[in-house]
Amino acid sequence: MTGFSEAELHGTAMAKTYFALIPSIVGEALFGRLLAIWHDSWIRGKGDEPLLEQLVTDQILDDPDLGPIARNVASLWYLGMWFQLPAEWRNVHGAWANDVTFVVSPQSYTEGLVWKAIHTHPPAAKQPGYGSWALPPVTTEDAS
Amino acid sequence: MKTTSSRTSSLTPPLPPPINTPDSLKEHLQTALMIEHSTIPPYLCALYSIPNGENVTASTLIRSVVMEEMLHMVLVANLLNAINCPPKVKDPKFIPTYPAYLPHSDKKFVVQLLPFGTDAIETFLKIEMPAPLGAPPQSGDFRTIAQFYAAIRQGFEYLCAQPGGEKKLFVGSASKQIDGSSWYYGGGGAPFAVDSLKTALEAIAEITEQGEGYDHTLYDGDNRFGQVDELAHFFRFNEIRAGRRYQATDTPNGYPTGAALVVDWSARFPMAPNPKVSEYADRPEIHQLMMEFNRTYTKLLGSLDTAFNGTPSELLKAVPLMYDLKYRAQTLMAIPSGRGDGTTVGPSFEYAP
Repeated sequence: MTGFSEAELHGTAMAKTYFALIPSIVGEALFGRLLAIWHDSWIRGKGDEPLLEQLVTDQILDDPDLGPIARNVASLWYLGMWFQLPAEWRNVHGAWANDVTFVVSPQSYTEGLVWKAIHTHPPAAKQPGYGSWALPPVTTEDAS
Repeated sequence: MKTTSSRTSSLTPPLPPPINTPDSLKEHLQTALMIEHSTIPPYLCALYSIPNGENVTASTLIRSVVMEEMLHMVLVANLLNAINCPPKVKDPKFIPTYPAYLPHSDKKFVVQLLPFGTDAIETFLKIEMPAPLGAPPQSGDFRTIAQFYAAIRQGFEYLCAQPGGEKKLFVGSASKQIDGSSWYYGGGGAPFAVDSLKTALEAIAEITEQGEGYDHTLYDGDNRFGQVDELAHFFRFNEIRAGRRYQATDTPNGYPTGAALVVDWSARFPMAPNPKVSEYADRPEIHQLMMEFNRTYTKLLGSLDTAFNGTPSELLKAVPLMYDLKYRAQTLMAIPSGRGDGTTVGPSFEYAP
């Protein structure tokens, strides 16, 4: 859902934090359902990208209970922030105490995928070195 | 120039030291360059396995040592260029295949790529071990790095003591020297140009004293170079191992007795020892990230090679590569290895042009 590989997600060292965070915001039951349905989609759609995409869209993103959570998880990976769930969702599921907009931690900010996606570094962190602004960005493009 | 051998009987001419030709000196200096470099990947693995914000003092100490190892590489490159020998850095043979012995050492211990831990620090202590009092210079199969440098120092002194020796030896182009004025920043001290026996001996002194201490003390004697005296590398690592800082009354032969240095040996990414790209051939996501790391590393060696061979300004371009390498290493440190033993992947430092 993020467009980054599982290895890259682990590479942020945020997986454990987020895994503990989400049920603390939306509760074990909804989080458990999201994981179970994701797992089901992943098993059925393994090796078949279009099918997997279809299953995730139908079973998760279009689901009024799980869709908003799943979108929040994706933006969590990208921005290191949790956004308060939409009012429609809160009207149905109640206003959870921890469901407020906040930056998870200093690490979650620097490890946001957004910086990788736009090929830059988080402002004020992960500095690329004095004078690097005068040089072409570092790339590791495979010559082959 | 007074040498130790000049004190022997005046009836028998003193034997030349093991390093007694310019070619032999060049060869040994290139080895010195390899030795300095070979310590950096192990130190970096320990450093980057410490998560941000954990073990702050220990990681600051390790980082300060790595910075000085980089300075040593530049100083050795200056020594090579001073005697007109191109330093070779971008070469598959330049990189050790870990686990490895220090190049040309007596093979008493192996150096591995390990995460922060007692095993890693024990190895670092062996690498930086001070030479025993009165230990002889060793041009090969050396016991301590200091003894190897002592042999190089003898070589310089011997060759310069020959008629016209100093003039004939220091024929390198001044434009290849990297000094602290324009191209080098970031601490660990400033490099200086080598163009004479005096400056060559100063460079060698700076290298060995930062490693093992100045004149059998705890400190590197850097105040003589206009810098603050710091603990030599061996003693910085010993502080981490002992969990205690040295204080002014401590001696090199004893343990540190100063303030406590809190070390949490479990606050680290447990990188599997000596990772290799080939181990992850069937894990394309990880394989790709490891390859990207190695390509960056190889690019960095290429940059250093260019900087050492007539384009000192290239050193500034190497800096973004070093930072990039760090972030890539930290990413690899956090990825589970999939071995089922709780270890993580880690950077492999292999040649990948």
